[in-house]
This record gives sequence, C-alpha cells and structure tokens, in this order.
Amino acid sequence: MFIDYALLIPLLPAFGWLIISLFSKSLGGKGSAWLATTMIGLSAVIAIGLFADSFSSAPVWKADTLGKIYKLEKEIKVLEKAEKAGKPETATIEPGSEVPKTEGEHTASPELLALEEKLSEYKTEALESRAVGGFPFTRDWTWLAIKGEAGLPFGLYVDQLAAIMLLMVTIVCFLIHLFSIGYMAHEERYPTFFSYINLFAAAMLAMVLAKNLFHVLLFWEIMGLMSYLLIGFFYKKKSAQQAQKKAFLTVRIGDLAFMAGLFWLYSVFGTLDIPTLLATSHSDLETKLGGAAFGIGLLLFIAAVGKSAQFPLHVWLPDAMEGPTPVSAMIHAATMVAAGVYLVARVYPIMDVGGVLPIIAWLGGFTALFAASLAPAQADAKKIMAFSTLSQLGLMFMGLGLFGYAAALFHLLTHAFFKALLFLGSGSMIHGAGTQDIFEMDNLSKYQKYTWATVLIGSLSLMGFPLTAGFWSKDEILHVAQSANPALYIVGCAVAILTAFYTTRMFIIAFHKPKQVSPWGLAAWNNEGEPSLNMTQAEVEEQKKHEHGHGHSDHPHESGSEMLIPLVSLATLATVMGFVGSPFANFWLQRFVYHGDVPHVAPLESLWAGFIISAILVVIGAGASYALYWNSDVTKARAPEWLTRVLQRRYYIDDYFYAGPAKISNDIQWLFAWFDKNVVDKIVDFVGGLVVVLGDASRRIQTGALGWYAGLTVIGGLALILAFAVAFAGGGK
Amino acid sequence: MTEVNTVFFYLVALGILSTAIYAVASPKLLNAAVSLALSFFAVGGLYFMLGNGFLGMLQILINAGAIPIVTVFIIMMTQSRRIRLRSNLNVAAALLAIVVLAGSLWSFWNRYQGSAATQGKQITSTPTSELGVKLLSADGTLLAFELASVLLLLAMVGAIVLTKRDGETIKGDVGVLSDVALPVTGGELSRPAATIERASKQEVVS
Amino acid sequence: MNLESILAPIRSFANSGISVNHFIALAMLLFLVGLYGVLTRRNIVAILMSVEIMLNAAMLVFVAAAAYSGDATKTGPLFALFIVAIAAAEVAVGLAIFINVFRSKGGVTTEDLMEMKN
Repeated sequence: MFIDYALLIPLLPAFGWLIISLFSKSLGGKGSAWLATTMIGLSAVIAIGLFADSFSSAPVWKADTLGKIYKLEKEIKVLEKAEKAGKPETATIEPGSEVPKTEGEHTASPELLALEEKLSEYKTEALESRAVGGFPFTRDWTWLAIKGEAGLPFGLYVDQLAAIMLLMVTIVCFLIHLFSIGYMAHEERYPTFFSYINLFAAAMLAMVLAKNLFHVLLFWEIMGLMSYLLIGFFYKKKSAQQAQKKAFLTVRIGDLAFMAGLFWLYSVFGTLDIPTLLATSHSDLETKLGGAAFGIGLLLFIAAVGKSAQFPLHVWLPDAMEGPTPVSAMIHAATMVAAGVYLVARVYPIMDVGGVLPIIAWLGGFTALFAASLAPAQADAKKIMAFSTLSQLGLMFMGLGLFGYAAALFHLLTHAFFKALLFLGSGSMIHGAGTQDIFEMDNLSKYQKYTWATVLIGSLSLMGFPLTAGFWSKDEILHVAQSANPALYIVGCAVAILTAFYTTRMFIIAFHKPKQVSPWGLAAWNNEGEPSLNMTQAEVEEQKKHEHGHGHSDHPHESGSEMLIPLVSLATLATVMGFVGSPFANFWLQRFVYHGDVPHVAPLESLWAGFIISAILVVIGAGASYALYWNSDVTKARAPEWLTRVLQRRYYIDDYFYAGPAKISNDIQWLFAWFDKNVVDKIVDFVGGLVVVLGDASRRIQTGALGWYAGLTVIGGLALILAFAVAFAGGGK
Repeated sequence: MTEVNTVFFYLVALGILSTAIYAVASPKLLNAAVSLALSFFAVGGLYFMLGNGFLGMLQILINAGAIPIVTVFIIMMTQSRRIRLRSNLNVAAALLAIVVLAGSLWSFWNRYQGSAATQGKQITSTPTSELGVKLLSADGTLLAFELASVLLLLAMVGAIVLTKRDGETIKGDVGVLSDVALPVTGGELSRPAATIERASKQEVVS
Repeated sequence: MNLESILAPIRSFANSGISVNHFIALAMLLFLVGLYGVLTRRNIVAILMSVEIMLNAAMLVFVAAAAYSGDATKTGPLFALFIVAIAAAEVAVGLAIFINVFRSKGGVTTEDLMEMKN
C-alpha cells in the first residue's frame, strides 16, 4: 500500500531543499539540480503508486446508469419548476417565514414522487462496486501525546481529489525541474533556484495531503513565501523586487481571510478535520453552521481568490512573470494557482451550504472574460500566458460555482499539463530567441522545429481545438454552464472565442513573422507603466541588457535535449490527459472525482451540440486572428488607439489600486503623524524625563565594583529573611 | 522506604564541605576547580543516598563533569591560574556578613525544625520513569522543558557569537592604542606603524 | 570499662538516623561557603565557581525535601533538573563573556570590570 509511504511525497523534496541549502557548495550546480529532480521524481513514483491504489479501491460507478440519473434529475427539475409556477398564489398570499415550508408541501405531486423513487432506485443500481481497502486513505499521527493526553494531531488524507492532484503536481513539477536543468544553467544562483522550487513543490504536496485545514493553511503560507522568493529570483532587477512584494502582499489579503475563516469555522464547527467535514451530511452541516456558513464560505473563497488570482486580487499574477520561466510554469500550472481551486473543492460542502457558489460562479466568469480580453494587447509571450491562466482559472471557478465540481477539476488537470507545456515552450522560445517580446522573435518556426510542434499542441489545447485536452475539459464546463446559467454560458463562449484569438495571434507572430520593432516599445513589455515603477530610459536599457545577456546567443536556435524531453513528455501527457474525461473513456474522470452521493455525468447524446458549438467558436476566434495577422504587417494590424491603451493599462485596475487605496492611506497619514508627534512623543518624552530624574537620584549607589553589588545582594537577602521571619512569626512550633 | 545511613552521610558531608571550602579559598585556581569537581561529585553521592539515582548521575555528568571542565578551560584561556585574594579587611567583612546571614537563617529555620514533619527519617525514592513522565507532560513541566531547551540553544548560540573574532570591535583596540606612547615627529602625532597595520587589517576583516 | 561501653555511643550515633534537617543544615553551610567565595574572590572565574556551589546547595535542598516528604508531584527533582540546565547555560555563556572580557581588557578581575562606574 503506497499510503504508507505517502508521507515521503512531500518529505523527499523538502529533504532535497535542506540538503541543497546546506551543501550546495560541495554538490555543485549540476549535482544540486539532479538531486532536486531525483527527489521530486521519486515523489512522482510514489504518487503514481498512490493513485493506482486509490484507483483500484475507489467506488466504481456505471456510466450508462449515471447518464439516466442525469436525465431524470433534469426532468425532476423541470417538473418542480412547472409546479412552482402553477401555484404562485401560495407564495404571494402567505408572507413571513412559513412560505418555504408550504412550498415544499405543495410541490410533492404524485408524478414527481414517482420520478424521485425511480431516481433513488437508479442511484443504488449505478454503484458497481463500493470503496474498498479503507478508502479514502487516512493516516494519523500525534505529536507530544504523553500518557493518554490528546497531543497535537496531524495526518494524511487521500481521497480521489487528493490522489489526482498529487499525480498532477508531482508529474508536472518533475518535468519542470527537468526542464530547469537546462534552462537555468547560465544562472548565477543555480543551486538556490533548485532548493527553492523543491520546497515550493513540497509545500504544495503537503498541502494536498493535509488532513486538517489548519495544516492546509500552514503549507499554503510556505507556498506564499516560496513564490515570493522565486518571483524575486532576479532580485537585482528593480521590477522583480516590486513584483515579488506585490505578489506577496496581494496574496496576503487572501491569507488573512483564510485565517479568519478557519477560526470562525473552528468556533462553530469544533474541528478543522477534513474527513469529518466531508462526512457531515448537507442538513447536519446546515444546522451546525447556520448563518455562519455564508461568512465562512466567503472568507475561504477570498483566500482562494488571492491565491488563484481572481478579480480583484489578480494584479499580482501578470507581474509574477518577473520570475524565471520555470517558476512561472510552476506557479501557473501545478502549484500556486491550483491551490486556490483545490481549497474551494476541499471545502465544497461549506460553499454549497453557505450559498457562496453563485458568487464564485459570477466572479469566475467575470475574471475569465476580463482576463481573456486583456491578453490580445500583450507583447510579452509570458504575459499573454499569464492572462490566459487568469482566464482559465476563472472558467474553473465558474464551473465550481455552477455545481460542475468534476468539470472544474478536470479542467484544472488538463490546464496544468497544457499550461506547463505552454510555459516551458515559451521558455524554450525565449531561450532560443533571446527575448520575451513576440514581435522581436524572428520566424522561430524555422529554427525551433520541436518547440514549434509542442507549442502548437499546447496552443490548440488552450484554444480548445477538438480532440485536444482543453477541448474536453472546457466543453464540460460550458455544458454545465449551458444547463445551469445561460448568461454565464454566453460569457464562457466569449472567453472561448477570445482565447482562440489571442493564442493564434501569439503563435503566428512568434513563429511565423520576421523580427520587427515591437509596436509598444521597451517600456511596454518591461512593465506596463505602473506609476511606482517609473524607470529612466537608462534603467530600461540596463534591464534589457540583463534580459538579453543571460547567456543566450544572438541568432535563434533550438533548445537542448534537456529542455525538449520535458516538452515532448508534457505534449504527450497534455493530449492523453484530455481523454480520461472524454466520451472515449466513458467520462472516467467525472465518475472518479465527484461531490455529493453520486457523480453527475451527462450522457454523450446531450453533449454533441456543445461539441459542435465549441468547435465553431474555436474556428471563429482562430480564423479572425489568422485573417488579421497571417498575411498583413502585424505592426499595422492594430486596434484603435484608445482600446489598446485601456487594455495595456489593464483597465486601469492597477492604477486604481495605486490611486485609490494607496493614495487614501497616504492622504490620511497626517492625522496619525499629528497624533504621533503630539501625543505619543510627549508621553515618551515624559517617561524619558522621569527616568532621567530618577536615574540621577539613584545612580550614586552604582559604584561599579562587583564586590559592592554582591554585598548589597546579601543585605537584600537578609532583609528578605527578616521580612519572612516577621510575616510568619505565628507559624513554627 | 529506607533511611539515609548516618555514618556515610557525615563522611560525605565532611567531604563536600572541605572540598568546597578549598575551592573558594585556594589561590591556585586550577586546584580550586578540581576541588569543586570533587565537591559536586560528593553531592551526587548524596542524591544516590536520597534514592534519586537519575539526578545523581546527572550531577556527576554535568555538575561534576562538564562544568569543571569548562571552568578549567576558562581559567586557562584567561590566564588566571594563580590569583591574589582580597585584602584581609574584605575577608573579615565577608565573614561577618556570612555569620550574620547564618545566624538569621538558623534562627528562622530553628522555629520549624522541631515540627513533626521535619523529624521523619524515612525517604521515598524517585523512579526515573515517573520523573520523565512528569517532565514531559502538559500538566507537569512540558512548557518549562521546552523553554529550557530554548535557553540552552540560546546559550550555545550566544557563546559562539560572543567569542567570534570577526565581531571584535575597534573599541578594544583604542584602549590598547591609548597605552602606546605616541612618538612625536615634526610636531605631528603619528601612530606606530604596527598598530596602524593592525587597525587597518581589522577593518578589512569586519 | 568494657568494649561495649565504648561502642554503645558509636552504635547509637550510627543508628540515630538522618532527617531532612541534616540535609538542610548541610545545604545551608554549602551555600554560605559559596557566598564567602562570591564576596571575597577577585577573579570572576572564581566567583562563577562559587556561584555554582550556591546553586548546588539550592539543588540539594530541593532533592532532600522531595525525598523526605514523599513528594508525589516530583516538583523537587524537576526543579533540580532545571537548575542543572540553567547552570550549564550559565557556564557556557560565562565562558564566552570571560574570554571576550579577557580579550578587550587583558584580565578578568573585578578591578578590570569597573566600566559601569564611568
């Protein structure tokens, strides 16, 4: 049983971090890199074993019966709606708290009852085999438990969600480690980089394995720290320093909400144990949490918003591109942003009970559209990817919010693979071309055949081109949206078109267009004009030199095999991963990971329309982009000036943060300054003066001679003894 | 329930006191340190008599072993093997203070020593396991134990930091410099070449 | 005068037994010896040694009182244990401080340490 070794999954990379931190000098650059990669590789082996164990012991559901249940549930919903609509007077006549009760009684018509009976029949029939072998796996330890005391518990919890996350995180992280060996080879702090990403991966893995929400928070924070260190890896660059601070502080807002949510949850629920939370039934949770459920759910969601960079806390993610490309890959694919989605999925019952899900859905949908609209205005390959991550994460949250639990996690899984592929691919492009600006990349398809092919696979997947991974998962989310919320479905479709548009744009300009002057100049891709980052032209030049100068040759070239092997593996995996949730595998993933008593699996026939619409959307987006950029001079094919400007400034949201909250706090500082000068300082001065006076009086005792002090001590002791003798005079005989 | 053997007690007590007196009175510090170790060793013997073997072992290992060794190191490193005593007046004053203190202690303690509670001659031995459980349980001294571990860590770190040569301040050097007679050349004061070199080296290091 | 009359007082002395009072008296004497050292020594290393003697005297009282009172909470021995820990820390830091003092002052007597006066 691999669960017995599950503790090693986070411990091995953490151990790698420790060893590299302590002995990087004797290990050397390559030694550290291979040690780190081996550690995460071993973790991946255990994670694969653990996944296989979970796979064989998790409950198995029949796909066709699940399809029937899906249809039946839809029928019931329609019927319920119709019956409610048929008796509007009950709701209007009786005011007050009794309304929901009477409604419930009225809707129970005979046909509905019959359908519900059939539903429960199907539900028992759908289960092919129950969970075996103590699934979900748990392991418990206690620390400092002496003679029957409770001690401090900690443990591992591996259910379907954790198993699949572990698989994804370890494999993606391993490939990113492998890629970094070649990519980071010219960097000065090569071993440090590997120790950091090793601990980063370890924190994520420990967070996924944690049995207690408190431990989730613990490793969540470690991840925050590591992201801070890694985004600012090129700490000599001013923009990197700014970006790391921005990332850390922005995410911190969410962390604060996380802590508050946990404390609140603990005070009303009495435990932070995840299995206990998941095992509590919907109605029990409702009575236990009561009105607090909404607050707790919202706070935990704010935490996820910070970590997963949803609106309005998204501002850190594009700036996080200041870190090395493998770090971006890790943050965007496997670790950082996935943590937010994971958290929401973990505490899904609370979100459900508290009624936070609509908020999640709308905010996710908004972020998806918002970020997708920003991406076409970017010139930096990595920033385009950053906005696409924001947009895809928005889609995931939208899916989660619309009860598409499995769909969202499916998308998280596929997205992790193809986004890691795209980031590593763009890393390879940057490595070969020596620039991050897609306009400055010189016809890369000529020089980088493998990169071209792998990035093509990644891009198609991101667009949701039929039969690629992104297609299956995005379509699941769109399908969920279509039946749950038409407005959000339209948002999803718009996002799909925009995604296809900007992905194609990036691909064409980077790979098939000759080098040209970037239409937005140097400042445009260094940092899009944040007020606090006003650099002089000389500084920009200096920074540019640094960017170019990290060991790349002048003319474009293909990357080495160390970089190509992870790329090709990821391309393969990104394609394969799509099929686990596709009709070809009978929606295996949706039957494996689910929330509630039965998985929600739509039958194939209800999906055809969605498939076709998706394909059309992709063709529209990609076609528009092709028509716009393929044959024309790209610098001229531009949107109106005002639109470009707005998009480049990211809808002025960053500016708002600088001009709004930051400025307000600046403006009210005089009040505190006055208080500080006239009240606090005066008190301090008075205390200081008092001490001076007292000190003047008492300093005569201080002769400085040690013997004198010893003598005084003895006299003091004598006085104490005499005092005791007087005080306890009545005691004794 | 046992009793402490009277003869052994007096023998050990005599040993403790005589070695302790030698340790505080001898002008030869190394001898004093060895005598201190012997005294602590004998105190450890008392713990065994009191049925607390664990503390006895601890006493021998740390108080009679480690501490005198460290003390010997200090004596050697600070070059103070032979020391001068204070003037006789000081000794007399100290003895007077001690006699007064002893008198007060004695009279204070005398009030209680007749009570039945202090007349018992039976002792209860302490099993080490019980001591360990109490030491590490939350209703015992777990917190104090953790704090003690922090204290020892801090002591170790502090000792390293304090004795590190890099951290040496220039202030000590100035003291040395002021002792050196500065040669006067052409109406200008100039430092001796050797000290200047040393000072500049110091700056490079720190 | 037979042998028995000589042995009798010895025997009665040997059988008189030791109570907690004896231990406290011994600890008190040990404490005073240490105190004498603290007051009369000029060398701070010697003062530290004297302080160690005083600490040991305190420890002895704790252990003896616990043994004679049948202390079930084991507070006495535990206190003694912590005294050992603190004594060890004290000596370790003391060593470092004395070496530093020696380096900067050239000696470790109380006369060398009159800084506080100035």
